[in-house]
Amino acid sequence: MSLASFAIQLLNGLASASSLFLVAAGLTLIFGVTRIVNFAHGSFFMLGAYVGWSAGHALAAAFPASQLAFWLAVLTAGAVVAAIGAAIEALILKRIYAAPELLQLTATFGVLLIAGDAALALWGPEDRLGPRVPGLSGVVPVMGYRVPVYELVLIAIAVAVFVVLTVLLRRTRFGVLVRAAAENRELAGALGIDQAKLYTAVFALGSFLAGAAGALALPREPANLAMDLAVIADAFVVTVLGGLGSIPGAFVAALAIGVTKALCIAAGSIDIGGMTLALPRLTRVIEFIVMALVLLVRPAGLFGAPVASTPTAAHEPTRLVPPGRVAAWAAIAIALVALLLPALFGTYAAVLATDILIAALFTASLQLLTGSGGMASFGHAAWFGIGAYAAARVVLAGYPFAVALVAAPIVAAIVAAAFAGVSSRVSGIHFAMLTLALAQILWSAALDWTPVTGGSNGLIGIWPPTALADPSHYYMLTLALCATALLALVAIAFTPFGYTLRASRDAPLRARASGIAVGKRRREAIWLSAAFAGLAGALYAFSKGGVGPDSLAIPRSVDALVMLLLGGLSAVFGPLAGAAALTWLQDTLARSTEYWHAATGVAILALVLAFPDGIATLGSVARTLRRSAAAVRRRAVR
Amino acid sequence: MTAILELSGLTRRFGGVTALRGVSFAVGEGELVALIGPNGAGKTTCFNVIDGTLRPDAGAVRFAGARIDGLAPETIARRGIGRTFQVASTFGSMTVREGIAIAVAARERRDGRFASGPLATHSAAIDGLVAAAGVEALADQQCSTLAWGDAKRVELALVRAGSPRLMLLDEPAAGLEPDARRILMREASALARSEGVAVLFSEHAMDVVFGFADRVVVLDRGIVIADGPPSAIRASATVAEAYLGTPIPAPDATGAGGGVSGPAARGSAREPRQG
Repeated sequence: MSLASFAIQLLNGLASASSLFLVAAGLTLIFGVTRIVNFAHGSFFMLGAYVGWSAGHALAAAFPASQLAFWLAVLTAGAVVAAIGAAIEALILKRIYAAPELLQLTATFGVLLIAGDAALALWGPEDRLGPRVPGLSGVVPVMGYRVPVYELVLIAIAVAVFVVLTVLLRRTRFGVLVRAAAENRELAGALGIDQAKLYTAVFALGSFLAGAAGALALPREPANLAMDLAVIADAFVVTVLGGLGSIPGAFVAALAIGVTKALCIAAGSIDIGGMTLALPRLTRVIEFIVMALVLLVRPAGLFGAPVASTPTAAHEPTRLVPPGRVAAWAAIAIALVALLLPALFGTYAAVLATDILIAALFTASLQLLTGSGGMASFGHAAWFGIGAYAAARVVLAGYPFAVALVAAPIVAAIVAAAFAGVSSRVSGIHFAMLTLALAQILWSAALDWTPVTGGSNGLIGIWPPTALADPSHYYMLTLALCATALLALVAIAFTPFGYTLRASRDAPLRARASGIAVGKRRREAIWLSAAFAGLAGALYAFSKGGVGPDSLAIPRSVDALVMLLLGGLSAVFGPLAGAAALTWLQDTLARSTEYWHAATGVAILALVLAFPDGIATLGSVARTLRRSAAAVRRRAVR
Repeated sequence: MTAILELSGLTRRFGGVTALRGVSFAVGEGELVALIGPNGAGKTTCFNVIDGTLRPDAGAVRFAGARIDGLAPETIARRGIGRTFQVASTFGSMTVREGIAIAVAARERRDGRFASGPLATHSAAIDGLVAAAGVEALADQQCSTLAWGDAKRVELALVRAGSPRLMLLDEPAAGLEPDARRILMREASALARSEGVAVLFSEHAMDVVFGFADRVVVLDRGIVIADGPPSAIRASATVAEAYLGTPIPAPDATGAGGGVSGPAARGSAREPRQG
């Protein structure tokens, strides 16, 4: 490879980095001030692309053969998305700033689902390629190669935006307010800063950047419905790598990612010990590995200040109440209904109940980690997917079904133990991001490592033995295994280990001063949780007859969080209740409307807004109902 | 008296600030030692270095004859050093009884077990600790809802659950009513007298310091400026200067019993002006 062709790749990488920086700058700005991990930022980028497409076509007629149409379209996209962002902040997020982080994240995922379906309804499922921009679609010769003019333009825009943002933050009153709020929310409020306005303004600015970036991406890639999750994963990497809340960090990190990608593409395929490694196809894996390595050396990212372990106001920890007689009878009643289900309601109910049981086990494994252990995970699907793929490979290698069911949790636990060892210095939001990174690495590996994973088609023909081929029979096996595993998880929560985990979560210093090996217990929780998630993944693979990359994708991780929060972080029956609610809801909605993603999003938002304290346990439902009933009574008396 | 805890030449810096400079003193078995000094003198840093939360930049911590500096806090706790925090820390999501039970389990090295049945929350040991702390009525209350003073008593029970040979109490009396102070300090001194537990406590309330301590160590800007029996400390002009900022004429210290060892004895420039 010549130096010149490397330079071309580098320019290409820098152009991608520029686009990424614009998105990440908005994300990091919003996080710095509001402390919200905003999944919907990916939607802002996607909506910006679509709005830019529509505006571009409309304006092209008004300004034929002029660049003006394009630039106006970019500004329009930014402005429209800024308005959408501000509205979402004011109508939804404003109400949940005091809620636990995970709940906020779930709410923004609800917004993402709605935005995705809104784009589907407005622009249809086809990719929308932007119009050619006069004067920008050409190439300029550089060292004998043809470099697209537009790439140079993008790089210039990113540098300009970086300078403008830096000046804005360093030299203006608005910037001082933003930095004050990012530094110390309470103090900024006490000093008389109007936080409500400031937050909305920051959200509008961040959304504007994302929207404009979406429109600016049009000459390089068509607007499409997969943009939101694709870009948010990259943007998370950049913000975490740079240090959450740091604009210079986002800039440097975006450059580092861009250059790394360019290097991988330029290097081409390399041979390692007879195995051909196609680096260009591994760019995504490599960017996550870069992030993981940086976090291991600098747990707060390149430019990040160490975030206090509890950035949000202390939430009163909920006690995990040991199950009493009522809970035991309830469990027996549920078990009886579950046993009779196929006979009473037929095969379809059995299939749905199989899904619910697997989801409940998956959620319960997350409850051990996040509920008891206090370690939030945005990538729990990693363990689910590892279990599913491991089971599939074992069966394809000719081993029996039972071996696959045993191997899956073991493989997941081993990988998790390695991950736990590596991530032991990282905590809080950074740990959550690291789990997301791991899941994304595995997801792209599943897509690209075709000989082992079957690529995007996945591995198919993974069925249980003929005796279990009937869905009702497979349901009975799933019931037996999931019920046992769920009971084991409940039991674990009340063993000394379970209490130790919660003690470490409640007061880590107190726990260590009492002789509790907090780090070791947390590592054990990680691999134990992964083992149960791996079992759920294996059962899933056999219930669907195969496994694909979606078993590792972001929506699956978020589903687990949603189910956990629906059922209650600290409720013994929480995972089962949450899994039943969400799985049933999705099934019902998917059969009744094309836009079931949006409907799910609306349901999530409704629940989050109704129960901002986090938890839709029966107790909090009852409390909320009592409170509103009392309010109605008071009004009636007046 | 044999020393259970020996600090020698402890130094700890935070960036440009030196919180401890060559701190040396010892605590004997069953001895109640008060660590006093103005705000920012380095008392809490000293505790954090002893219990392993911080590593010293120089110097050594010996506990029961063995070096413990550089060990993890949980390892040091298991060797027999228990501590309380300035803001009493308990396990918020648990009841008082559950919290004490997990502390007992940790002492018995059962805290990592997940295959041998649920945590026992009723045993003679747990009931004894609940009774000793005087929190029977609160035993089934969730720790996050405890009042300040109750949380301090529960935290002391958590420390006692570890059967420590040395207790570090960080401002045990702060924020307590006079009665509550006396009850808490009597419990600590009873432990020292009857079970030979050494107690090192930092304190601002002088009635507590001089009412309960066998010996007083005075820190000022990271340096031990005095170390001796309460009567000698009370009489020391250096100590008064450290607290009040101006040297005051030393009162006649005869009958103070015992001298003040400290930088004076080692030829430091800051000599206590005493008789």
